[in-house]
Amino acid sequence: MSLFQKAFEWLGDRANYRGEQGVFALAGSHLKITVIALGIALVISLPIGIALGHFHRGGPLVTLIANATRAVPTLGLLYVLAAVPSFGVSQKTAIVSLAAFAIPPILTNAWAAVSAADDEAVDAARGLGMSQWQVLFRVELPLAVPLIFAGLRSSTLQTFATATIASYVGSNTLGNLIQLGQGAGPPGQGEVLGAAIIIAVLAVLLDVALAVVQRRLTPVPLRSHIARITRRRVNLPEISTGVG
Amino acid sequence: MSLLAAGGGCLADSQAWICGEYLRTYSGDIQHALYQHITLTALALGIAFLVAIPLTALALWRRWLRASLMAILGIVYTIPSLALFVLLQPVFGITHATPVIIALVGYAQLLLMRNILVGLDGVPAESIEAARGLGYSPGQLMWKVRLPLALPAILAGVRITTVSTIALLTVGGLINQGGLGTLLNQGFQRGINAQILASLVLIVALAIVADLLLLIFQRTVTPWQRAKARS
Repeated sequence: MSLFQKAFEWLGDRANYRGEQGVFALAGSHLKITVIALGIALVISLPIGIALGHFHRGGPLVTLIANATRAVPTLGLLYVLAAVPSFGVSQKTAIVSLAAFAIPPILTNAWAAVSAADDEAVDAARGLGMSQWQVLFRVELPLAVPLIFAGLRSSTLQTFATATIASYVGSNTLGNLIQLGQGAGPPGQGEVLGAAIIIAVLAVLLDVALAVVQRRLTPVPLRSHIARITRRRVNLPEISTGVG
Repeated sequence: MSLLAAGGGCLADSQAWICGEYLRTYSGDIQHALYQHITLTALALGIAFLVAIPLTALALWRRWLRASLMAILGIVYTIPSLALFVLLQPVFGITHATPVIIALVGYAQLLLMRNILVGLDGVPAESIEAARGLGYSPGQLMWKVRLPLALPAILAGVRITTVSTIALLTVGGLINQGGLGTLLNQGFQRGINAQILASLVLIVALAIVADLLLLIFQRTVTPWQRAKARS
């Protein structure tokens, strides 16, 4: 029997979906960890990115953070934290690492989006007598929403992917299934492969759902503007932080 | 937890993060893992470039091919690395690194192609017009005008791809095919902190060194960029 047949047999067995270590429960806690880590990352990076972007400050710093974090393997941070006694093999380790890796894409995109808001629109707003806050909330932020969301989208996928390997430091995620299957040797091959299929399909579905939201959030007249900003930013890391 | 255990005994104290004794005792293993990390990365990047050339040609040939290629690569890119490694194992074998290399080539494609296409898109229309006016053939136009002008963006893409490939290979350690990632994974399984930290530092250092070398290369082959930045 081929390995893929074994995988589909595993996928077809309803017993694998139920229970504490079943697909449903693990998918639930996988998503929960992803959402908590993203929430923490958003609270930290969004205000900083928007403020720096509004005052056109800190561009080199933002780029440095983005570039530096790309060189750090996610598994490395997970293991180092897990080996520190105050973190240990725990959910806390996973959430802190995941949040740390989710920050750069959100930060860079928020910074780029706000600082790249159409100069003419900002000038016009100031000419109309708007205050700093009004310029920020009525002009820059509405223009920035689509690009900020693009950052959130790549952060989400990165976090979802890293949550998979967080199972190796004691979090309940879909990665558990791969880990358990590996531990079981040849009889576990179906489980390993079946779990990988579920993880891959969920990631792609998540991306598609976020792409739909992103499109909804982008007003039609702005679509070419956003594409232009995105195209100009080859060196910025938004595009390179999807995988974990 | 002691950061620096007293001389000699740190290998017995698995909590020590920095341990000269560990580095000395296991220098063979460390060198082997480092060498493997470099060769696997180089192999993945080399294949990725070779694959990117025909794919770019296809993308430039027809607009719909470009859109569908980028969509497919985008989907590949969203698949978590551990899942993709494991998915490729039944096809390419469990006992060697081929699945990891193929996966890394797949991830690298999106980064490479995006930057190549962005670079080519950014070539000023006037330059292309001028070259056409001088009687350049489409081949000459590509090799003598469009590619050189797109070179900074392409090389920026090469740097991003290299750094993320080096980091991403680490996850291969979870299936015993990750160069320094394997060393990292073993360090965690055995609870030797010095091994965890040494592997992590080497991976980051490798990424930084590779990035710097590529930066020097970029400066050398695009001297006009620096002149432009100065003026």
